[in-house]
Amino acid sequence: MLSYLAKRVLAAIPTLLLVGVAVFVLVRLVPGDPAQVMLGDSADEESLAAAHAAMGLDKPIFTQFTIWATNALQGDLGASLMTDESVGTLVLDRFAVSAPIVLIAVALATIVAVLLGLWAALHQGKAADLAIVTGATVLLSIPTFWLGLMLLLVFGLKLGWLPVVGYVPFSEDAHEAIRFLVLPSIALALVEAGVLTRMMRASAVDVLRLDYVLHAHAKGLDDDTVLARHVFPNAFAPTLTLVGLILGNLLGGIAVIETVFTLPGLGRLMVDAVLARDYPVIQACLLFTASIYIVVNLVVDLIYPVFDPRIVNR
Amino acid sequence: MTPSALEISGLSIASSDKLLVKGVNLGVKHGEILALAGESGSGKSMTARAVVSLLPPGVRRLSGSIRLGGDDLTVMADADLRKVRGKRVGMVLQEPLSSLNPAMRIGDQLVEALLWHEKLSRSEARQRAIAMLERVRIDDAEALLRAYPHEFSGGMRQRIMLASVFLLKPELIIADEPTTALDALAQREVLDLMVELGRDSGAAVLLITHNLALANRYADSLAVMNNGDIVESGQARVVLAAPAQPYTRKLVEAVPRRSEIAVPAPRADGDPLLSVRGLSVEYPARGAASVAAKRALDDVSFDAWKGEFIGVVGGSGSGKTTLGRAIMGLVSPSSGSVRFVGEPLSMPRSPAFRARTQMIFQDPYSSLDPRRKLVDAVADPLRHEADLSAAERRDRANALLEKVGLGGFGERLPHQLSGGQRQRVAIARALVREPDLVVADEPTSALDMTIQAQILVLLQTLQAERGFTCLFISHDLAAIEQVASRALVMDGGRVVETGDAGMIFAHPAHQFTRALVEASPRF
Amino acid sequence: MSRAMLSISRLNLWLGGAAALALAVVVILGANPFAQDPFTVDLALRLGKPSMQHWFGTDEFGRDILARTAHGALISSGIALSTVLLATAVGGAIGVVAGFLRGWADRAWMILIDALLAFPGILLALALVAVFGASRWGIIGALTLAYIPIVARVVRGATLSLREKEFIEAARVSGDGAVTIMLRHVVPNLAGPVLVLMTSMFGWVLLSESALSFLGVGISPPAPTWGNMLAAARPHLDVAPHLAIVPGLCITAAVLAVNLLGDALRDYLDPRSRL
Repeated sequence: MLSYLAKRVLAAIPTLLLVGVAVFVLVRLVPGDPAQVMLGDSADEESLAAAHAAMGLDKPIFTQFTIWATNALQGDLGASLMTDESVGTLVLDRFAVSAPIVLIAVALATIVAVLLGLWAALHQGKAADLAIVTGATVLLSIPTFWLGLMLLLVFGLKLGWLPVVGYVPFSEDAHEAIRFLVLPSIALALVEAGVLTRMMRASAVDVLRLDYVLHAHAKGLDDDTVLARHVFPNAFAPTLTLVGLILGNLLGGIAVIETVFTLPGLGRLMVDAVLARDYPVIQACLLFTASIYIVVNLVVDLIYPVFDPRIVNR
Repeated sequence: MTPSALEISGLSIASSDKLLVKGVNLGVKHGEILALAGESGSGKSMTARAVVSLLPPGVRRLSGSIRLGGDDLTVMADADLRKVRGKRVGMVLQEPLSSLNPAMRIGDQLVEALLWHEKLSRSEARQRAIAMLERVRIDDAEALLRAYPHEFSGGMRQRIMLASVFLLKPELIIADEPTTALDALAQREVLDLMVELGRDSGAAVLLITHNLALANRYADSLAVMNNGDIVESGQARVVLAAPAQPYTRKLVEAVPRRSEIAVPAPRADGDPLLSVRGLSVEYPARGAASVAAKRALDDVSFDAWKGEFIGVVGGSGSGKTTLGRAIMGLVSPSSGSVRFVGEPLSMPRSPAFRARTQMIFQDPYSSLDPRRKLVDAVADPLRHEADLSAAERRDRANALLEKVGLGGFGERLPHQLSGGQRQRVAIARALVREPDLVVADEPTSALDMTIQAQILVLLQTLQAERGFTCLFISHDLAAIEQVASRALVMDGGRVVETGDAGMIFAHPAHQFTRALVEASPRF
Repeated sequence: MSRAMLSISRLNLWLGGAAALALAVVVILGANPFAQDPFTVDLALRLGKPSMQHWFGTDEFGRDILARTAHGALISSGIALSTVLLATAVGGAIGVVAGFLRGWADRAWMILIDALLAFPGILLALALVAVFGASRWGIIGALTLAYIPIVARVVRGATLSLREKEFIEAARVSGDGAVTIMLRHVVPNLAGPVLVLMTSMFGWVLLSESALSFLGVGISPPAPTWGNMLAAARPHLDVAPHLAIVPGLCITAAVLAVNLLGDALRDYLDPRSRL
């Protein structure tokens, strides 16, 4: 068990390093000059050269990378070219907006998916199964941002139940903050529930075919007990992996939802940085989300043995 | 006379489009073992599952009654049936690898049914489980209860399964091919244990099997099923000694047995065709680096002469398959040498070696490319013969397909064939370049009894006709006795005994060979 | 069992066919020589409701929504198709070679691919668009690079399980080399699963492309795409919801169609459902 944990943690390290290199290279490939972006089009040669020296852009590329990586490891990701704010603080502030939405959405989606997926698998081929599978396929085909727009149209504009735009931090007014989070979370949750439900159904169908389920029935257990003790844990394992992937993915995919609901989240920060060519912010956003992705999947790997102890010996 | 423990009468079972079981009558008495034998698709498993009303979806019981100690199970409500399952009828399933829940500790699975059916505290249930494990001679029961199923071999899991089923002292045990996936030694261990536990508790046992030799050894009475009908039944030894029905006769004849006349051994003179010296194969350790590499093959040496039919026999994990693969260059040896017609072989194997050697694989469902027509599959090896045109290659492939009894099948795809037919194609593909050496790795173990017998005969005939050397790898002692002139017995990666096949098995010298011979059921 | 799968499979085929047909009708109605021009501005018709002249209404510049939706369909599906073909060719080649040959090259590729897959969702595409520029080929390039790791991963996995099959070993003991085996036995057997993957990927790329456009980093106006139409509709959602409803329905129909057809294809190709 301990060696399994150690292996997983160690395996994440080269990936993280490579992510750092990829981020650095990617941003260097972006055409244009950061100094120019910071100083504007009217800047003269002299001040540009001075800015280059200040940013270290006159040094060899490898040295630039070492400096950047060393700083990044110490948590210093530089300052925004636009606002001069510390990028680290900026990213964390915005992450505080995105994280609750993503967590609520994934939790909701997982619960719905487990229930519907098991239900469909148990009633394989019947009307309920057909309806759930088709419904899930329709859901996963809807673009998140359009679903968000439609929810906004119905519950925000037409019915007026929930606020349309804006954001209140939890620290100021928890009740109000939740009202702002409801629609974005549901929009994300519905689409991901489609993906997860199909996965859960497929693995439950596979598990229901196995001998140990038959054997559990042959012991005299009732259907609910068989489902809870023997089918669910085994069918949930592959779904859990997918939950991890989705949780990580949503941090990137949330940009569109934040645009719909004008939320000042991490995704929107990245988009604005790309549009403004704010290199330190692009770098930081990419590095941060990729790291979160790797950490989330590491956590999933560490939980996985609870549902499938075989993985430890593989 | 005591009433039967189980009395099935007029049982019919159907799927949506087919009658699977046609009015079957069966009775098992207390303390009796009834073997229900038949080939795949005969309806024997459906009959067994109908007893506890656990038929697969889409399959239902049409008519008939099933009485357990006087109670008709077919008219019972679901809730009452659940009180019968596990408590009065215990079930042991075929696949030890999939019949225990991989995500649940063995202890929890053992006591699950006990806690469900009887008013016991967890610690009382635990005590009962430990006592039972000791009864089935499992050491360190405490540690076992905390472990997960994947940590144990198939034979061990099947013993755990028996323990869990017998914990509730059921009146009837249904064992559905409980040892089919196990090797001869584990099979013996599990079945001996089942008989012992059954005798102890006085339970009736319904043993579903395709293996008549097993029925002969363990069953009191026997019913033979074919196509949903019971074709013959009676006392096991009587039926098997003098089968009255043609189908039963066919099944009995298909059981491999020692030839009356020993398979003639070709004279081993001149230089050997194949010469293996000190061959070892190590698989790199998985997981923690502290675990030593696994030695799959340990210092194996032997010679094979032209025209010999050599049987390699051993249990699972004995290294017999690795031996074949190492000779063919599919795995790299860690030490030792292989010579072919006097030439030392290197990795990767030379085209000259490939031209004169071939292999037949175990699984008929994965040994043929699902997207290649049979004639192409058989003709493929001929592409390495530079002077043959495409038409000539096809002609030779078709001729060989006809030779293995599949004339006119050339344009078909593998999924249109049965397992036995596929194995014939694999044999044709192996022989198309007229090799000097053929390694056959368990070519019959995935097949039904009667098909197995046909494939053995085909291989034997072709070998006699063409004079190639055959290395026949099998866990089935009887099959080896039937076809091989010489045998290598393997255990733990080593060859423990070698010599004339008839002699070895009649007078085994090594203790492993003795155990194997004893464990292999025969007529 | 097999009957149940068949009926889901049949339902998929019908629904997917219906969605595809509806889209085809929209494209034919909106992008034929007699239809409205997607670029003609008419400020008098700003945010017009559906009418006889403009069946789906007009947008914030008075342009015909039907025509813009139809032209958007052509642009988006062109981008998706190019991306799918390019990503499959490159990612498929990497996956087959890495999965079949194993060894250090495989390990190196997989570390690289894992690192690329760690950039969640459309973030990688977003950053790449910044590199390539927001032209049509820039977006195709960005999306292709973002999808190559996914294809490589899936194809490598399928190749790994194929190479353990006994018919591959049979080819090896017949003396066939790696290239022959890959071309004659591996690639043909991957065709089915890869085709299914390509179908789903077409849907994913459609979604990614429209998301990029919606965020304002995709194809820029006045050229119509479903994504930038939705972005433009957002401020007018209250007074002119039809601006948002039509392109959104189109994306959903298009993605649903390929998803359902992909499912039907998979059911058809999966030997288990044919038993």
